Amino acid sequence: MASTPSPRRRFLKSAGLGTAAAMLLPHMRGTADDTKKPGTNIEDAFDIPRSEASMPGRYPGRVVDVFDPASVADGVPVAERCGIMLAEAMRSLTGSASVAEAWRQFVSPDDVVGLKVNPVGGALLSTSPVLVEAIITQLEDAGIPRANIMIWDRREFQLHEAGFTAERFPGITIRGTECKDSQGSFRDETGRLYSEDRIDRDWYYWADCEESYDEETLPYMVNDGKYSYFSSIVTKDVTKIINIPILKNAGSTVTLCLKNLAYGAITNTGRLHRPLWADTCAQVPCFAPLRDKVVLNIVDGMMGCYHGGPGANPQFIIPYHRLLVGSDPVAVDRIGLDIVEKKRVEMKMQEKPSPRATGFLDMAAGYQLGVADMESIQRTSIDLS
Amino acid sequence: MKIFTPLLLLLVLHASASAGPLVIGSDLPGWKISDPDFYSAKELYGYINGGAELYLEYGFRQVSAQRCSRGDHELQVDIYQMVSPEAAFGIWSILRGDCPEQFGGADWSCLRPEQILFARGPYLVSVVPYDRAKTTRDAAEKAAAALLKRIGGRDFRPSELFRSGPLSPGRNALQFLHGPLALQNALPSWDDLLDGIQRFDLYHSAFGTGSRKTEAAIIETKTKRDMDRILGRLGAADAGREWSKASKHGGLVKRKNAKTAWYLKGGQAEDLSRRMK
Repeated sequence: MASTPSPRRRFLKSAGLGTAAAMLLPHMRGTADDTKKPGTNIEDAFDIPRSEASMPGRYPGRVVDVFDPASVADGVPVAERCGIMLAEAMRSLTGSASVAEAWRQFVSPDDVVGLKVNPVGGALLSTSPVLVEAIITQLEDAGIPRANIMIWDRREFQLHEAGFTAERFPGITIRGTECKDSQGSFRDETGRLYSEDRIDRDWYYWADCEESYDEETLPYMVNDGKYSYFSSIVTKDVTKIINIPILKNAGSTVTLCLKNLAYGAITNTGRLHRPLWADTCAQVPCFAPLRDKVVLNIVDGMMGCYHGGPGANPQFIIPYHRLLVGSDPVAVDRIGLDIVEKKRVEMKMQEKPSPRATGFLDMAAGYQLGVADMESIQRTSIDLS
Repeated sequence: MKIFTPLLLLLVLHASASAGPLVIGSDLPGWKISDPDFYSAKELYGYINGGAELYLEYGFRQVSAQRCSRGDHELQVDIYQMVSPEAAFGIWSILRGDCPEQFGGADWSCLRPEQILFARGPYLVSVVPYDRAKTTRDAAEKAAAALLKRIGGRDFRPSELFRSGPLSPGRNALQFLHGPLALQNALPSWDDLLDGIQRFDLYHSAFGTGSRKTEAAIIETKTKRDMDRILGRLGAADAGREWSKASKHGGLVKRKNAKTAWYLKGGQAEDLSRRMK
C-alpha cells in the first residue's frame, strides 16, 4: 500500500503536479488545446515501484481473439458456446493444456477475486451474466471458492438491473461503491451516504478541475471537489481483479478495458469526462490498486455496439460473436478498437479510422501499462465456426 | 378553499408542463405504465454515464424514463427534453444511422424493429421494445404515436438550401453537429478542421453515389477568428463571397459572411456551386 501523506503534504504535492506532469509528458500533447488541460497527480502513481504483478501482466502485447458465430442466438449469448470460447482463449493465451491450470496462472485459492463488469447499458448492453457465470465456473474448477469471488462496479443497483442478482449468483458477493438501502435511499437516517463507507480516502486521483453536484446527483458521484477517491473494493476488498468490459464504441474510439477500470473504480467522475477523458482512462489505472491487481482482461464481444455508445442505442447493438482475452489492457483495447473501427467504416459511420481514437492508448503505453502499437501486438485469432 | 383551488390548479398545471410529455394509461390499455423517473442535466451521468456528454453538448434540460409492461412484455420510453428543436434534431441525426423507414409521417423519425426514435419540437423520443414479440412492437408503435401527437410544436427546419434549394437531395442525410463530441461521433474526418473550436454549428450531408458522391456543409462559428482558422485549415484563408478552391482539404468553399461558410466536395460540387448564390 502507499504511504499516506499528511493532508497538508498531499495538498502541497498536488498543487504542483499539473506543471510536473506537463513537463514529464510533452510527447503526449496532441493538440494546441492540450496546453490548457488541467493538471493531475499522476506522479503520485509512480511513487510506488512497479512489481511483477503490474500491468501489462504476464503476457504483454498478447491478445487472443476467439470467434464463434454460434455464440449468440436471437440476440442472446449462448452459455455453452461462451464457456467453450472462454476455455479456448485461456488455453491459447497461457499455453496451458488444462483450463484450470491456465486460470491458476492468474489467481490462487487464497485470492479474493473481483470481477469488474460493466452494467451501465442495463439489460441491453452490459457485460453478459452468461459470460460471468462461465468465468465463475472456470474459477471454481481452478479451486477458487465462490465465497472469494465478488462481482463489482460503481453502482450496485445497476448491477442488479443488468442481471447480477443474488438469485442468479448465489454465494457470490455483488457489490457497488454507490449503493441504496432496501427503501431505495442512498442515505442513512443521519443523511450520510452509504457509499461514504465504501471509498478509501487514502487513495485518490486528483485533477485540477471540479464540478458542483446537486443533491440528486451527489449520490452518483459520492463527492465533489478536485479529488476522486478510489473505491475500497479495489484498495481493500479484493486481491485480484478480472476486468470484463463490453465491446462498445465511444464516438470514434472505444470504451473497453482502461475506461471500465478508470471510471469504474473512482468517485466524482462527472468532472473528468470533458477535460480529461483520455487522461483519466490512461492515468487512473497507473495507481497501484488497479495497476498491480488487474491480472486479466476479458472483453465481452458476443454482443456489442459500433455507434451510439457508450449508452445503449439498440439499433447499433450487434452480435460481434467474440471474446478478446489478454493480461495487457492496452493491447486488448487496441484490438477492440480495430474491430469497432472496421464496423464503423463498414456501416459508413466514418470513412476511415480517426487518428485521435488511439490517443488514450498511446498515453497508457507511455505509462508502461501495455502495448498500443498494432505492429507490436501478437493477436491470436481462433475461429470456432 | 375557493381562493386556493385556482392556485392548486395552476400548480398542478405547472408541474405537468415541467414534467413534459409522458406515456399515460390510455395510450396502452392493459399495460402497466411506471411513474417516470426524471434526470436533470447533472443527473444524466447517473442515467447514461459517459453518454451524457453528447446530450449536454447540445443543450439538455431533462430526461424522463418510463417502463411499460404487460406480463413478460416490456418497453422502455425515454423522452429527452433538449433546449431547442435544433438540439433534438442534432442528437437524432447522430443516432439515426442508416434508417429504413420513417415513423408516423414525422420528418425526423425512424422506425426499426428494435427502436422507434424521433425528434419532435425540443424532444427526442426513444421507444425500445425489450422483446421481439408482435404485442410488444405494436405497443411500442402505439406509445410512440401517442407521444408524437401529444408533443406537437415546431420541428427543426433546415436551411432553405437543404429544404428546397440546391442541397435538397441531401436533406434526408442531413446532420447537425454542435460540438467536438458530436463531431467525434458522426464525422471524425472533420476533427482536424474544427480542432480546438469549442462552439460551432455544422450542417453536413453526404449524398449521391459513385461519381456523383458529394459532401455539402454549412459551417457557422461564434467568432470571425474561429472561421479564419477553419478556412486556413481548409486551405482557403482568402475565401470570399465567390467560390474558391480549398487547397488543403479539397473541394470548394465560399465565405458567406464573417462567421459563416459553405463547403462542397465531390462529384456534384461544381454544379451545385453554380446554383448556390
